[in-house]
Order: sequence, then C-alpha cells, then structure tokens
Amino acid sequence: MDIEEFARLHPIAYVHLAYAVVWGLQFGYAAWIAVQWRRAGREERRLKLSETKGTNLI
Amino acid sequence: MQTSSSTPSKNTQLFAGLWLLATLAVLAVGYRQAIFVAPAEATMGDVFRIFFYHVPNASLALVPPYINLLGSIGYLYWRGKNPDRAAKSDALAIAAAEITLMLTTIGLVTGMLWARPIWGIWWTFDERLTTYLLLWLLYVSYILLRRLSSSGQAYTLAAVVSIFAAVDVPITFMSIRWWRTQHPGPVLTSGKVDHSMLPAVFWNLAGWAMFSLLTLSFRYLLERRRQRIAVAQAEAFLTDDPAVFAPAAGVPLRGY
Repeated sequence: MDIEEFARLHPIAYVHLAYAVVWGLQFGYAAWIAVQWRRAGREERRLKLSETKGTNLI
Repeated sequence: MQTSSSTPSKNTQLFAGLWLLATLAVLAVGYRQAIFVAPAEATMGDVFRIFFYHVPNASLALVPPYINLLGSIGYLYWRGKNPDRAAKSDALAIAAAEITLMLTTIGLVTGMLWARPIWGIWWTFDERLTTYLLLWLLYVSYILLRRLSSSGQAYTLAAVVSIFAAVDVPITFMSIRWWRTQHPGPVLTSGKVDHSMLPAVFWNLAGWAMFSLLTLSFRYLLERRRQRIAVAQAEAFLTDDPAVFAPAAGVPLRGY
C-alpha cells in the first residue's frame, strides 16, 4: 500500500499530519526561544551586566 | 542611554506562567472541539478538520507584519534621535518577523495538506496562494538579510524590506475577494460554515493567538537581552578587555 492509497483510505492521516506540523512549529519555536534565553542569560551573568547597572545601547 | 534590566520581574514571570497555563487549556479545548466535537463536513469528510487549525494560524499570520512594520518605522525614525527607542523598536520588529515567518509556514504547509486530498494537487499559483507565498518569501529575505549581511546598514535595509512586506498583507487578505481563486472564498464572514463548527474555529483562534502573543513577548525580551550583551561586548572590545570580550559558545556577538 503506497502513501496515496493509505491517505485515500485514511483521510484523517492528513489531519493528524497537519496538526503535528502546527504543534511542532509553534512549540519548537518556543523551545528555541527558551534555549536562547538561557544561553543569553548565562552570557549576561558572565559579562556581569548587573540588573540595575544598565548600559549604553547603540 | 540607560536601559532597565532584561530579566522579567517576579510578577511578570508569574503572569507569564498563568498566561501559558490558560493558553494550554484553551488549546486543549480547541483540539477537543476540532477532533471530537465538530461534525465531519458533508462532502470533504474528516479532511475538513485541517480547516480548524489552518484558518486560525493562516489568519493570525496577517497580524504580526503590522507589528513588524511599526517596529521598523520606529527604528528608522529613532535611529538617529533616540538610540534606546530605536533598539526597542528593532527588537519588536525582529520578534514580529519571526512569528510571521512561523505562522505563514504553518499556513502554507497545512494548506497544502488540505489541498492534496481535496483538489488533487499540492499547489497552484492562484492569487491567494501566490501572494501568501510572496509574504513568506519576503520574511525569509528579511531574516536572512539581518542575519547574513555584513553591511552596517543591514538593519536599516531590513526595515525597508518590512515596509514592502506590509504592502503585501492587504493584497493577500483581499485576494479572495478581488479575484476568482482556486482557494475558497471568505467562508467565516460569509456565514457558509455551519454553526456547529464555529466553536472549533474560535477556540483554536483564541488559543493560537494567546500562544503567539506569549512567544512574541519572550522573543522581544530575548532580543533586548542580546542587545545588552552585544553592547557590553563592543564596549569591552573598545576598552581592550579580552577576558570580557570572548563570547560564550552559542551566543552571537550581536542580535539579528
């Protein structure tokens, strides 16, 4: 049974695939932000950018 | 120019946590409505359930381009007058651009997964699909330009690209009204969707809007944090402090 025939017999497969794409991209992107947030936080602490010191931008 | 800390306060963290819980609850209700409660469509059957995720995400994708536009205009306006406001505007612009790219990707992929069993084809260059693809391409260009260009004018050029991208949004929105397209016409506003299916649409619209707002906020805060790091690294470079200048692995010298 090829994928086209499978999909004809089980159209809900397209639905599950579409839902997986949505959840995967949305939560994958959120997870990427979380990872970058932690990395940037570590770098910020390493540079000793204090929470009240502030710095020049641009 | 002094900036406040990029670390959210305890109250903000608590609010974000509660917002995330509420979002997950709304998304769970939306999923249940879409898969178990809404009836199968008369001619398309179960494949129609893609509509409950495709329409909210593809529609939401037309909102952040305007946030990106505002941020870009703010950056262009303030870059020579108020560096702190320019940096904040730029952070908002890149956050909105990435959300747009993610949502348009979802719109394109879920649309193709619906088109294949219903139309018999994955893709056709009708007005809606073409303008939507153009929007996706413009935001790919915007992000690649910021990330890869070595020019000192990269952020300014990207801000100009965002203005062109924003022009495409109303054309995309109106394309199914202006032209006869392979893509279905406006179904929600024309009342062609059975009332028993509307809760699935609106619960998912609310859930993904809440989630996108949360990711937009944290992406903005992340960019602000990166800006602080980039400035500190630049200052360390100017003062010739190698102990501070060496960036940790995985952290770019500047945000993008």
